[in-house]
This record gives sequence, structure tokens and C-alpha cells, in this order.
Amino acid sequence: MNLLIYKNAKEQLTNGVYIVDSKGMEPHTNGSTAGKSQFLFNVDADKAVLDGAAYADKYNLWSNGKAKVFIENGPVGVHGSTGELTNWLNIYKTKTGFIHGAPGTP
Amino acid sequence: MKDLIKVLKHAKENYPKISSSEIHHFCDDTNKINNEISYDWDEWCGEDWITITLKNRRVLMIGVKIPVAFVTTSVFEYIQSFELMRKLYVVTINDFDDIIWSLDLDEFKNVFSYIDWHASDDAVDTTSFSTNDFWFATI
Repeated sequence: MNLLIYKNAKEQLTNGVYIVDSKGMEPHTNGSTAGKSQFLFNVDADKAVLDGAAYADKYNLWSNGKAKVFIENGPVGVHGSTGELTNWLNIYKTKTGFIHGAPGTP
Repeated sequence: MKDLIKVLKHAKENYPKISSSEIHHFCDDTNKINNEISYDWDEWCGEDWITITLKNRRVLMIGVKIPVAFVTTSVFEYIQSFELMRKLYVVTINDFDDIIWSLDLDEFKNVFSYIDWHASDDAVDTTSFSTNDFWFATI
């Protein structure tokens, strides 16, 4: 079950465990084709990353601050160089609980 | 705190940029050396760092855009067998979580305009951060 997502006192999106670092999302949501994968425009990237992080906790998917999560209900983005659709989400975290994410590969 | 920009500038000014094929060769060879060693690099995502793990723990981090490698002292001797290491500025650290670095973000953006620093001040404090924090901010 996904955790409730809300804004904290600093207006940062959080699920109570992790906080989305919005600056970290920018390279993958700015529509650039400079090699960085991009979230699809109709995907709520912040929510996907928070829910993905909770899923990674539940299923112990973290390795050295990174988790790869397969999103079953459709692709989340496209690869940076090829434009290929992908259902994989990479999530990165700090020891202090900040996260950002990007469409990835298996 | 050590100035990370000095380290990165030294790498940039004294070592040639490694090629994509060298990186791919290195990644292909990694698993052949020791089956407890593996690499993680999502090229299609646009990741700018390659992580090498030994027994699932990060021991080496190699820049895709900067010819620098951060390696834990525990495996420094061991990684000398990697041919690619001779082409990189190798920086030894005790642990990737040790908070040992600082940098001037404006200077970083000026000198390394092709590296995207994408972390807020709340997530990564540029006056004191770890190598793992640097990875988070620039991956």
C-alpha cells in the first residue's frame, strides 16, 4: 500500500519517510534531449518516485543508495539517447532521506 | 573539509577524457576479474557515474564525464589491476559516507558546466558532504 503523500513545512513533497528533492527531478522532467532520460508528460513523477521508494523499502530493493523499480501500469518515460519507452524507474537517495528519480533500464 | 573542485580540476586538467568504448570494455571486464565484483551504470538513463561494488558494497566510483575515480583504501591495491585506472586520477577515501568535501557551487557550475549539480541545499550541504552525497547530486 502506498503511503500518504503530503507537503511538509518547507513545501517539499514527502511520504513521511522520504522527501522528493525537486532539483534532482529537473534533469529528467525538463524535456531536454541532452542524454538524460525523461518522464512522460502524463506521469506524476514525484508521486512515482515516492511510491517507488516505499516499494523499494518493502521489497528490499536498495543497493548503495539506488533502487530499480518496475512500474507495472505503463511506461514512465523514455531513454535519453534512444527515446525508447521504459517501465523502469531508478530512484536515488541520500542517508538523510532525500530522493530523486529517473526513467531507467532493467 | 577538502575542496572537491581542486580534485576535479586536477583530473580535468591532467588526464584525458575516457572514451565510451573504454568504459564499455571496463564494464565488460569487471565481472570476469572476480564474480563478487559488479558494476552499475545506467547509460540510457544518462547516469554520469559508474559504481563498482564488491560484495554489494560501493568501493569504486568512476566519472563518465570527468576522468576521476574515487576508491576506498581497502581495495586501492586491488583495483590497480584495472587497466582503466591508469588513465584516471584516482582519489582514495576511507568510506563513501565520510563527510569530507566542500565546494563552491558557483565555481563548480562555471568550471564543470557539463556536469549537472541537481541537489537542493537541504539534500546536499555544499559546505560539508560525502562522496555518496556528491554521487547523489551529480548522478
